[in-house]
Amino acid sequence: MKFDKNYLAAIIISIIMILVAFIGPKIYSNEAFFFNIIILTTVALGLNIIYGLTGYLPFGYMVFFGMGAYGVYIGIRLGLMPIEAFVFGFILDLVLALVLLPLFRLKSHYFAIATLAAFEGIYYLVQSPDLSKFTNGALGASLVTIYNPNLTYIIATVFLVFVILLTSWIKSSRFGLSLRAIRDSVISAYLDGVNVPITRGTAWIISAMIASVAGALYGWYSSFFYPETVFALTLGVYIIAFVLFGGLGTIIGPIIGTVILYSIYQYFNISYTYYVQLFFGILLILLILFLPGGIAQIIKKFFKRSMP
Amino acid sequence: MSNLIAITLLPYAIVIGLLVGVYYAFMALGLNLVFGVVRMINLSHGDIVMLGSYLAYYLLIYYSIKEGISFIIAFPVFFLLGVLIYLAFVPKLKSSSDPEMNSFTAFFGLSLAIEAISFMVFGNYYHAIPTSALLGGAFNLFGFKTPNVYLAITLLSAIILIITYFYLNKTMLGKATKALMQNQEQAISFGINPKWVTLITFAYGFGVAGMAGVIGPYILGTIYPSMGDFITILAFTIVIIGALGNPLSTIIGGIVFGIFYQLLQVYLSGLSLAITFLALLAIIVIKPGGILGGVQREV
Repeated sequence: MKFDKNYLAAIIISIIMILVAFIGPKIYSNEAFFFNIIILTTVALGLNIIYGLTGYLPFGYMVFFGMGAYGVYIGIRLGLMPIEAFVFGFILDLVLALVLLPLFRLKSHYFAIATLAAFEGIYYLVQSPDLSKFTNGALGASLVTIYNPNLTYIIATVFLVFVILLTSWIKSSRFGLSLRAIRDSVISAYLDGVNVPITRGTAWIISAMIASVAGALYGWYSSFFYPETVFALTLGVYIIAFVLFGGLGTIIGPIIGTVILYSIYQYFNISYTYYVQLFFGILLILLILFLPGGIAQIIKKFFKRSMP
Repeated sequence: MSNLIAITLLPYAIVIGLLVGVYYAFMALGLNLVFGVVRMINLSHGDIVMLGSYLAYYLLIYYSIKEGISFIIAFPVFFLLGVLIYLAFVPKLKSSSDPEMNSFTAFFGLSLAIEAISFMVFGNYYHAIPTSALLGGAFNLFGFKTPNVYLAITLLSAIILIITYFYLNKTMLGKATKALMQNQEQAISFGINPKWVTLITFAYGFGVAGMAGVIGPYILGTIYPSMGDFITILAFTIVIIGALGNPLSTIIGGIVFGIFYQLLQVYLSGLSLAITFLALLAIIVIKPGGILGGVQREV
């Protein structure tokens, strides 16, 4: 195996994240905050695979997160064992991701809005009183029977490390090179012999499955959630801001972006909700207009080195 | 619901759907005009409509200005706002690496910001405008008492749609706009200055969106700072039922959507939104340019 700086960076980041996950709550005793950081970092890295590395922005990405959480709930409600329920949720999301594959034939803004339509459609389906037999509708889903925060916390941390290592592998593999070719130009990627549908389809499925597992873990950890808590469109947009802020297509970028911006969000959101929303709105505009490469772009400019 | 009521409701639902559909077309028109000239989906469209509603509310409550007059005042106000937003966003986005995708995120940022400021300025409350501010009374439609205000809204919407039709088809500026929407490079080679035409049409789109907001509360429900998100995606649904980039097809989109949505609300109310959005998804996948539009696909 080739050992480049991507792997080294990934291993160092993984160790830092493990330390943060297990020492953090001892210093600042708010375990839920650290859990949210872990989950959102995972989601940001998942989004990064399809958005940063492949160049497609799925605006309704959180649909996989929500389905992951609700999949477990529906599974438990149908009388499945916890493990089976997780597999059930995973399969639901896998089917959804496969059904949405034809969206890649669309131009980028159609792709973005089509995923948004999928998000809204599934959200209103889950929330609908007509399906409350399965979803409990707008009244919310309870997973109290399988509540186990310590175990969930450990699994979430392990999963985050897995996603970090997976991202670094993708970045330094031939597969990642093909993704980058697609990002730069789909037509030249074709001409260079990249199997575009298979390659970006694989990236899409990986990306969707990461959000699915993160959603299932989030649902399990919080043990009670409403449709709008897991089908969180605005949070999904904030995650786009996390990724953009840190640096699209890097490994460290989405992590730094999430840790910094989520901390700001968490600290101010309760008393200054609208200021936080205004901040994120303006941040998104400024990033897109003036700093599309995020922090990574600044580092590249001043240190003449690209961030892993 | 018993079968008898279900059947007697059908003609009523269709006529109401038709009346409201004309308004829906008017409400979505601005989104399509903006898309037509800059090829960007204005995700803050619904927030402009929301601001229009607040304009009408405050003019009515504090200055006793009737809806009909606010309707006219709204146009220059939001036209100017459109000019400012155009200058701040469009040239920079046009020169970015992927204008279409980047504009999506930037306009969502704008939408978040407008919504947040609205919460701070107008407060986290629901506001309503009394029907009598526009047109009181009611008439009988297939045995159901129907407020007159529906007729007034349909009429006002139709007037703006007709004016837009004449603007696009009979004036030089309108013809230049249409040429630019159909084939940008050819239009430029015929001597059309794309900057001015684009700016004016973009701002016109904002102007009519604000006007739609003024009479919106009767159709869209109470006024609330975060009502915009839903309106944006509703407008997008209407636009895509017609054809993206072709403003006049929005009229058909609005009417089809109005009737379809009214029937859903009568017969399948619990699933009406889910079905609407999944249908939108299906339309985008099958015909991305809209039902009446050409096919716009990438490899």
